[in-house]
Amino acid sequence: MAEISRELADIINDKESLKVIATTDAQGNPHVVFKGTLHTEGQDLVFYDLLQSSQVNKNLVSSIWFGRKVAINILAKDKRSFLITAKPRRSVTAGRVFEEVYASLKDRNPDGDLNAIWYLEPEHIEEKTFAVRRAEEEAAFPILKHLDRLVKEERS
Amino acid sequence: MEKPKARDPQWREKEPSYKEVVARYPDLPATWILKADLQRRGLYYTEAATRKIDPAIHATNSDVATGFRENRDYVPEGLIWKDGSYLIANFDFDQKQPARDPYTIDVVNDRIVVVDEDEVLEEIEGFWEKPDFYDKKASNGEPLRKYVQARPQRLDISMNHYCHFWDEPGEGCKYCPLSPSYLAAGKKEERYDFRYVKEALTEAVKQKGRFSAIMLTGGSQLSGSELLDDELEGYLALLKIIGEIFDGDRVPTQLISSAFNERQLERLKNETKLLTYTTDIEVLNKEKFEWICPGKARHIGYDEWKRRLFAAVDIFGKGNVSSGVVLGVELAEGKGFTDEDEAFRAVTEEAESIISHGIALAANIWRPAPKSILQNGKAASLDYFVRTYREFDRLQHKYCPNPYTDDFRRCGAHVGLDLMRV
Repeated sequence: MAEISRELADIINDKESLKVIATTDAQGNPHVVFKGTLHTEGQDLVFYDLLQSSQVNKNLVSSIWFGRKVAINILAKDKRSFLITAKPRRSVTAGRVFEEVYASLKDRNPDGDLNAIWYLEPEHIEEKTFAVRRAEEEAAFPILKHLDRLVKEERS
Repeated sequence: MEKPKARDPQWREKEPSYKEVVARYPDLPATWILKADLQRRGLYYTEAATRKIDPAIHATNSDVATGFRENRDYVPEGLIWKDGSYLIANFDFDQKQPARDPYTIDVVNDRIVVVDEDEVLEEIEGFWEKPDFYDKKASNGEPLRKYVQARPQRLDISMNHYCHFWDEPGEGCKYCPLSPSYLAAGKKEERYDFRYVKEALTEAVKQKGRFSAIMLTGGSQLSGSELLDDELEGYLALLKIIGEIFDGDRVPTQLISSAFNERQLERLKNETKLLTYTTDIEVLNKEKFEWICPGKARHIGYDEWKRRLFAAVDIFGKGNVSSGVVLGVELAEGKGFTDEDEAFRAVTEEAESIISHGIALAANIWRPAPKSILQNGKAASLDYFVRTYREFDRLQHKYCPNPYTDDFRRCGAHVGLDLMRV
């Protein structure tokens, strides 16, 4: 299990961050969806699925059954991005916690509904911000570069 | 209570084990196969597991008393699985001399787990929670839970507590403990006053986010101007009460009743806000049906029961009709199939003739229920149930437009329909 740092938790819990989750069905077909409700609870990543017929719910059920992983990407408002691979750990579809979340969602959208609360356990976290990744690549693989980028500037 | 021991101590040597069945079907989730086996073999709660029950939070068997329940111990009504699904887990198991050793629900490292032969097989999320209305009373002073029962997301109304197919000796369905339990308990009140059902429903739905469906069912009532008319009138009255509580043309409701004819079905559709209709054909083979359900066979008949199911699709629409099946009872000792392969072929062929009409099969796992005629029988192997459910699922994915009929949220008894979640 990978640890979610305080800094990353703040980014994940920032309403201005973009959060996407990628899943696959049993046949391997990919699916990606934005999940604005994704947040941290302790070391879990948690989001609310609002539609009982959603593809992400089907894929997560299949993933929890067969131990498949999902991918999450977080894009902060300062354009830093983080890739998290995680495993669905549990799904809550009834009970006091479910009803509390249902009530809080109704405050925001009186006509809304709730399908499930999904709890995901992060297994690997990696920063994917472009500048960070480029620096990593250049340090590890100096061969990966177009030559024109290395041509000496002509001095006048 | 002591953990019951299997009648046949060598039963494990005579059939594929849970782990062997899991290995045989890698396309099916192991946790789901375990759920099926829990329903087949039954379960036993250790003292540590029962100490996990908080009576302020959880629904226990002592909260309700409907006709099917054999065990009156203080144990949970049901289990919640990690994948968010539910399992009815305290119902009609043989607690004295089961055919096989039940699984054990225990606590390890403060977690509720399923154990077999000292091996932890699965962690359980928890027990079903009781709804707020269970602690409240009707205007007559009786607890509201007497009139309406709750599953995690469904409200259940049992209209008739006795089934009149049992009026003639030998005509009751051989697997069913409902009427024998009713008679053994010396009960006299076949129906409760609907006023209190309304009070319970009105109170129940005050709990926001708890319930998403209402199910009505009960024993068959053959009387009336035409066969089943009195049963029909009862359900019409109950459904009209429901219609008074909710807005909209249709309310997420399910009626599980005897097989009504077209005139009766049209009345249900036109006079109420009923959304889905279920009539249980029970046994997927005409010859076995006639042996196992002689009352149903004599009064209506297998072919006519099936025809009425199809007629219900024309009236309620594809996706709004389902049928219950007591899967495995076709292998009961006596006049049942003696070979699981033969039973599989017969049952799945017949299943396709029904499912191809868009009718989902809500198949229970048959285990011999105490007080039923077949109480001393033995359920089929786990492999039989898994193989048959797998084929039902293939057919339902092909033909059924509505994967939510009788699913875990609306019931919790038909594990086969869990496979429709993906």
